[in-house]
Amino acid sequence: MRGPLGPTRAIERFFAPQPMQALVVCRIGFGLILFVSYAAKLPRFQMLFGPDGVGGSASLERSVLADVWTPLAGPFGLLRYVPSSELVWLLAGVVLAASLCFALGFRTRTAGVIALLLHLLFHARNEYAFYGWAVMMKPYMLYVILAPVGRYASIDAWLRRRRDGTPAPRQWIGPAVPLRLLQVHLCTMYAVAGWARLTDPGWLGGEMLFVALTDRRFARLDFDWYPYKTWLTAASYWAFVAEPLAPFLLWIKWVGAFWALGLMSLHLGLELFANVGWWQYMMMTGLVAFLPPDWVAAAFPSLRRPSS
Amino acid sequence: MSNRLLRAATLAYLALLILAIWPFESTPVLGPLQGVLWRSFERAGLYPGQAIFKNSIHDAKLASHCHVVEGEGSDGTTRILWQPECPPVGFQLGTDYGDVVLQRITRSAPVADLMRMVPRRARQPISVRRFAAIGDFFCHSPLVEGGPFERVTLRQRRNLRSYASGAWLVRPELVCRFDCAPGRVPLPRCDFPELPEGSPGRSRSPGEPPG
Repeated sequence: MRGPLGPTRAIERFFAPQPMQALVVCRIGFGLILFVSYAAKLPRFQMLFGPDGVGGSASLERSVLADVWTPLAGPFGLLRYVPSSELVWLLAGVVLAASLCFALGFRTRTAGVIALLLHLLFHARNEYAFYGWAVMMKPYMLYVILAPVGRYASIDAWLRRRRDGTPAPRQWIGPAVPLRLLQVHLCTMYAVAGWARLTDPGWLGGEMLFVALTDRRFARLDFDWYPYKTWLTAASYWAFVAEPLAPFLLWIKWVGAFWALGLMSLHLGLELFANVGWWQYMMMTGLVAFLPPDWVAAAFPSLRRPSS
Repeated sequence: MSNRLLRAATLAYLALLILAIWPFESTPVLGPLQGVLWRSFERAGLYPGQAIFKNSIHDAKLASHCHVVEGEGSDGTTRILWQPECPPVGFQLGTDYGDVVLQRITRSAPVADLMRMVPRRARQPISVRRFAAIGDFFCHSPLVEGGPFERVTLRQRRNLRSYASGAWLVRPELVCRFDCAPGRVPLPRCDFPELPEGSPGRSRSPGEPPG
């Protein structure tokens, strides 16, 4: 008897249940990134998001500055019209608590939904208070929320064990859909960023890393890179090659895992020298989705299966 | 059955996502369709991707943007309202997001439009309205110490460096003045005042750092 045809077999493999370790790492990583990013904004919170802040409701009342922010915000633009600074503080507290709860796995799905909704509201209120990472965090968070990530390495799981005596799951296996959505969306991110560079004179000339490191909007170091411009060209070409090829190579067994590690090293290097918000941490966390589950478990001992 | 539906919906979603990012811009049918798809994803908050670090090569490289905001009270006294250390020195661990907002909005405002804004159009482009929101904030917000003010002035100094030689170039300073009169949209009037000959702003000496 013959087995299923090629495409059918590929679809079966694509949707076969998957190990959850990577998504658990993403839950912890994305939750912490949201928490720290909002905590870092607390000293300027009212200026960024409050009614008396830039483009806030008081400003809209004073003049005809309606629609100062993106017209695409739709229903998420509600915070522009909130007249109470106390409510903005309250929402700040809620987004911090919810993102931390999501990271720790306490009321995981509810916490994730609340954190994501508030992030949508704050981002629509003032998108300039974030770098581009905050845009991509929305779908990535959504996919992790869809997965049963609260069952593993979480306060929820610990509470369940204490309450019901439910044993820890022997295998960290879950539905494939959330993991696949995250993997494909990471690839579309690299495609959009990487393919646009293929005709860009700055990237073709190997100049862009130098540009990033010497622009004081991003550069972490007050350092004169001009004498080292040639060295930076080589690193720039690595980014030029690594990101456009990622949507293809990440899917190939073993090659994909090492390509993911290469991309992680690229993001880590950029993080050391350039500050673009939480881009690098978000992408490094997401790339875990392309690592073999055993590697992830080895890197994070608490994520090892109880049976192993 | 529901499992099949879920799989079909997932595959359809992923296909649309890939269709939205595939480089079809120049094709007559798929190009516009792609635009519609992209905007639909954006509206749902599911951005397919972001083009980062693109198109930033010119013969002169921007090393930094520095902003100073001054407020003028009704008695004519002036007060510095915003003056971060610029360009920043040493290792930068964190970010002042107030400065990020100020920099990004100011940088995205079309300077040419701001300089020829007479007569003023009733409906300004969104980037200009955002810039006006910065003026409105410094004019009236109770979060700004010492306000409200009669007039607010934003000075933007640009430190440029030549790609080829590394020399610091002319640094024209953009000065925008916001009228804070109540009930008015604080649209600014901007200009590049002439810098005196021999001032640091006109320096062309190669190793000189920005001041």
